[in-house]
Amino acid sequence: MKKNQYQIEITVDGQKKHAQVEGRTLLVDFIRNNVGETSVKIGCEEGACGACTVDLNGKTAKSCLQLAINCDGSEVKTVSSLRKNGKLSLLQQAFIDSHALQCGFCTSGMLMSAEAFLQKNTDNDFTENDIKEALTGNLCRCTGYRNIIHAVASAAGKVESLSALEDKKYLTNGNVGKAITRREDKRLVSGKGKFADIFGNSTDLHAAVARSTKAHAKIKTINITKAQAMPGVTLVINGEEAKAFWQPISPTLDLLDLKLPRRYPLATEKVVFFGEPVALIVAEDPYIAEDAALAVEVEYEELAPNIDVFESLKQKEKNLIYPEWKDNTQVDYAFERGPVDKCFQSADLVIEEKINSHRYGAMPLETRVVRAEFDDSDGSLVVHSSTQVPHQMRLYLAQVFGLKENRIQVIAGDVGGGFGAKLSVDCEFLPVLGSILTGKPIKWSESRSGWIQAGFAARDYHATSKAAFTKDGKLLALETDIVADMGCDGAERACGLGMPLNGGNYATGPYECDTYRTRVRCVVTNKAPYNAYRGYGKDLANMLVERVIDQAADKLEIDPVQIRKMNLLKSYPHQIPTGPIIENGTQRESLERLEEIMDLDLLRQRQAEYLEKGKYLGLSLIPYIEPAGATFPGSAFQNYESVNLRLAADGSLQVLTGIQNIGQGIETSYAQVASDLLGCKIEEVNVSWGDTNATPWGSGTFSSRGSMFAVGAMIEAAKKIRSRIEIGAATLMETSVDNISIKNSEIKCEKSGQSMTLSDFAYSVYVNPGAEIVLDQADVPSLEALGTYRHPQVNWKPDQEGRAQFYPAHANGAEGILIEVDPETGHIEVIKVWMVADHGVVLNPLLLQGQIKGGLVQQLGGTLYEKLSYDKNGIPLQKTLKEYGMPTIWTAPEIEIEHFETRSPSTDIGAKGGGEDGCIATSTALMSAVEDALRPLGVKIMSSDLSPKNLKKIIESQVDLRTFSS
Amino acid sequence: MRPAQFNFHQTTSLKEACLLAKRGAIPMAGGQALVQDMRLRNSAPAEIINLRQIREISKKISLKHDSLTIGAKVTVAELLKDKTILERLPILSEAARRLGDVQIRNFATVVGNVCWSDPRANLAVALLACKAKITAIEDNGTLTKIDLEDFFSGFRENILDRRIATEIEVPLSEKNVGAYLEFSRQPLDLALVNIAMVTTPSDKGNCIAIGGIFNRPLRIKISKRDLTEEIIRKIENNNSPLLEDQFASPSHKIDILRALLKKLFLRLQ
Repeated sequence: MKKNQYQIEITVDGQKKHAQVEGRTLLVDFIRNNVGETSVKIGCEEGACGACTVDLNGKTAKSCLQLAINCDGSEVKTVSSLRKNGKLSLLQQAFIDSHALQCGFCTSGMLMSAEAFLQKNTDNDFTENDIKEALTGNLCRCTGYRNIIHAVASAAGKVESLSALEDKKYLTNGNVGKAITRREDKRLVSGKGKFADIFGNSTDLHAAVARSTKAHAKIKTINITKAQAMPGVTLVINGEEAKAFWQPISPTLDLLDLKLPRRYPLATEKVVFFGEPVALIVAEDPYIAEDAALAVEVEYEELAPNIDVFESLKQKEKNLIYPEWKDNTQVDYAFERGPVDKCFQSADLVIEEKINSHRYGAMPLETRVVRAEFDDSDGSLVVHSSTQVPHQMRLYLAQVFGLKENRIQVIAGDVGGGFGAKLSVDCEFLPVLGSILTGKPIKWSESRSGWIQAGFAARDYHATSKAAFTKDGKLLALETDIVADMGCDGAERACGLGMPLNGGNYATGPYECDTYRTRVRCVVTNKAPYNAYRGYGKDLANMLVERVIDQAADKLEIDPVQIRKMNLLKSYPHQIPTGPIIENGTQRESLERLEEIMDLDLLRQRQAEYLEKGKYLGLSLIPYIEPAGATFPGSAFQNYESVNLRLAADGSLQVLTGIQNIGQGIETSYAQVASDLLGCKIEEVNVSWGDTNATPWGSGTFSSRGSMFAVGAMIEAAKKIRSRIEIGAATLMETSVDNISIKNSEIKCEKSGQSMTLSDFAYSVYVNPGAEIVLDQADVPSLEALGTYRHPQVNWKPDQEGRAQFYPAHANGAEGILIEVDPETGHIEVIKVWMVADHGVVLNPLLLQGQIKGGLVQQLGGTLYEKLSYDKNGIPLQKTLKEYGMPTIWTAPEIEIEHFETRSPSTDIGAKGGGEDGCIATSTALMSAVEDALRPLGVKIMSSDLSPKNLKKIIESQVDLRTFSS
Repeated sequence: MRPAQFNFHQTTSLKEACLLAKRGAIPMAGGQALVQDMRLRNSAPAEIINLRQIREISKKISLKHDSLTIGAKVTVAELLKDKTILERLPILSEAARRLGDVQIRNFATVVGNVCWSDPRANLAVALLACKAKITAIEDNGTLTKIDLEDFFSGFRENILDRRIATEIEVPLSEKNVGAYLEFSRQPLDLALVNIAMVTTPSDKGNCIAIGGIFNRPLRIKISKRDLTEEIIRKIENNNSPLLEDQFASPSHKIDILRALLKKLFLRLQ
């Protein structure tokens, strides 16, 4: 036996497995690689996420913190053991029935912890806090935890399932609007999700990345000798050598007059951020690959790092990150309309505030994962990847490697969360290069610390917002000036650059204000790239207007709700100053309804009582709009989507879409729509996605677009097929098409009462007597059709003022929040959140509310805990999820949601987008509520960083608390 | 990421383990802190000794008439289940309940938490307040009982010095009253500041242990009359090196401490 090698035997789900392992082999790798049980996931390297939770000899364990050798002779149970004889356990079913999972990446581990909890508490004598305690060690980034708590209580029989509760509230004729449980869930609760990490063979090679340890430095030498000499290492290649094999990264955004860095996936000449890839390593196992990555020696000549965004903005000659740019500004955008200066001169009240949002980001539980297989015999490339945009990824791969796009197949499968951060491609090129150079399949899973330190950030806005008001509180003019920290890039290897632009474009929000000026500067610094994140700057727009309105209300002594009502839009459609047209909505009604359901008078009374006891309750009500369905010229985000529908010979319907499932539940919501459109049973519909060789070209998943774009395309395709079914059925039944109805997968002649099943009909088309007879009168003899959709409210042609419509739809709502603040410690307790939301017609309330709750808890986490920051040398201060401040189940407050349903004019179905609104007003609402709570102290909150540390700093900079508390 | 390579010593003999430790091998029982540190490549020990198979190391909590002994293989979960602890030293249960999460507590050991010597380690702070003594054994069999007050020497550092900790002994005085409190960003998260206070009937043994402010858990004596501000003054006057972290400044931590003390006095009233 080799040194450090040990023979062990572990029983996993009843199956004994004997293997030789190293001392350092982790149990999770043994289970995944030696046993092949891939339901056990790796989401971090610090035992925080719990995705790897298994039962180890009767106790739940994080299998990533157990050495396999220490488990010799042990018995391990995974989520696969929960399903008995093909039947889901009560708990698994409860997770489905209460929509307690979205992407499903955390679900296996979550179920193991929840199951252990229920086994321990068979008497059902437990509280919500007990559930939270039991699930503290399992992180979920999608659901906002509320539904998980509900599912566990429901499995114990303490409450009805959420789907049952929701279904009672919504009465609809068809499947659209029903609280249908998700069709993707059975595989996900069974640990059978098709995540990128399950693909491959035991003979696959593994990639690792050697990363820069400097933020800004010239690369003098790279010594790979040591790494290359390590046994098991197949390939080590640095950026200079790799230049022969690829082109610079294919940009995600190339709009306005923005500048692109034109970087290669591996740094050449210099590094521009800590963690930038400097060499690719391929080895026979991930342990060796990681050893070799750390053995790559780079000699740097350090350059002064640009860390502060305003310092970076000033640089004109020295210290430029990309000298050919002549400055550090990636884009400088300005817009003005109306007599801005005049308004400010003559206004009764002018408010001017500096408003900041700190740096944090998407942090999906699954990092980036790739399996690449290049076949040099025919030049074909198959890539499994965790991406929101498989078709664009294929395009980028073709561009970077000079391969024919039609020889590349990208398969995305289930994606363990995206939230915007999987819209672009940079590190993913590395394992592909590895496969091209070695001719072997290569696997790569990004480490969590790799994502945290060199992955993607968002927000990080530094803005000034200036508003003019009449003495009655009427908003006359607004001016915003935004500087956003792009890190090393917000357009090429990442696509966050549009976020501050959105902030500038949408800052007038849902208010009547036609006089507006904005300037947006996107500035590069020596930090990790800046990527899209849920909210995409609509959060900033919201903050910029709502924070100054609160100040005006204070100054003018007007109630904050009243001043908003006075300024909210009164009629639709309404073109906001920068161009977007808000088609319709319920801004006013949402705010009024929010007031009602919050019971404001009672809350104010409670606030006063608390204050007498020295406790600070705060509340706020913030309206918001959610522009949805972004389309940008000069980007991969187009005003186009297509869906292919195919009615098969057995009457089952296949929906093929280029929209990617990242947990939002398109297999279910699209099936609801398709079944209504074609009159077939929902059980007969299957939605396929995520494979560029199977699905028509689609823009992928972003900007809450699917329920308009995919649905619109489905409607077009369904029209074609439906008319062919009607023609064919009329032929067979010897009647006219007007008499044909299709419902529940049955075709009927309303006149004769004759009927046939959709499957009999389809068989008659495909086989007997055949399409030539049945569909002779149809436009084409086929039950397959491609539908394409172009959103009618998009308009890229600039008007005289250069304005265009890039966002076709605007969901809206109002968010209320109740908190308690402890000014002594800086701690904020979120007691309850209320949302009144209007996303047009609701496709599935269970799923829509899942999106709202998930976004909401993400943004609570972002505001209260999460942070990406750097020291003065540009070294990240966070390496782990705990340091980053990933919200746990304890962050999930009580959430109450109501809907309005203002039908969207864009499709016959009438849905708008609905994936982001939890992320839009939440920071603003928290800031406003903290200010409300601390009003007796006179504290103003203009930073979204409400971590205890920063809140304390804010309070101390504004009041002498010691005097106050004594 | 994954740990660097190491030799894993699967010994069943305590003596052999002690010899290995003397050579610099790192003892591991639950491994819940060590493995993550190694995965993050913050540390890369070349030799690791597995303590789980050494029979001489106890996995029991045993009660003698005036003390309670916790063996080095006792996990935090086992401590939580222990009836004697619940009755006689509920302060330890309070601290243990807030340590990590279920999965971590199932394997992390009490002695391991102390030996990890993080300045905020819940049980290190609570046991320090209880005036616990840790037993270190050398390869020649010499046993040394070290008061935890002398044990912690810096950030995640102690004076174990290549010995193996076999157990922790907690003195029991009939009417010990204690409480453990912590402030963290999210409940059950790593504490920013944690405190454990023990008062005795005679007031002579009254003390408070504080985690998170200095680079090691620290114990100070207090009298019954010590009010919040007096304790704060004692802390502010202590010149032990401070723990610097990104989550709270030293003065903020003092304010947190003040808030915790107020809460604690309210509870002990």
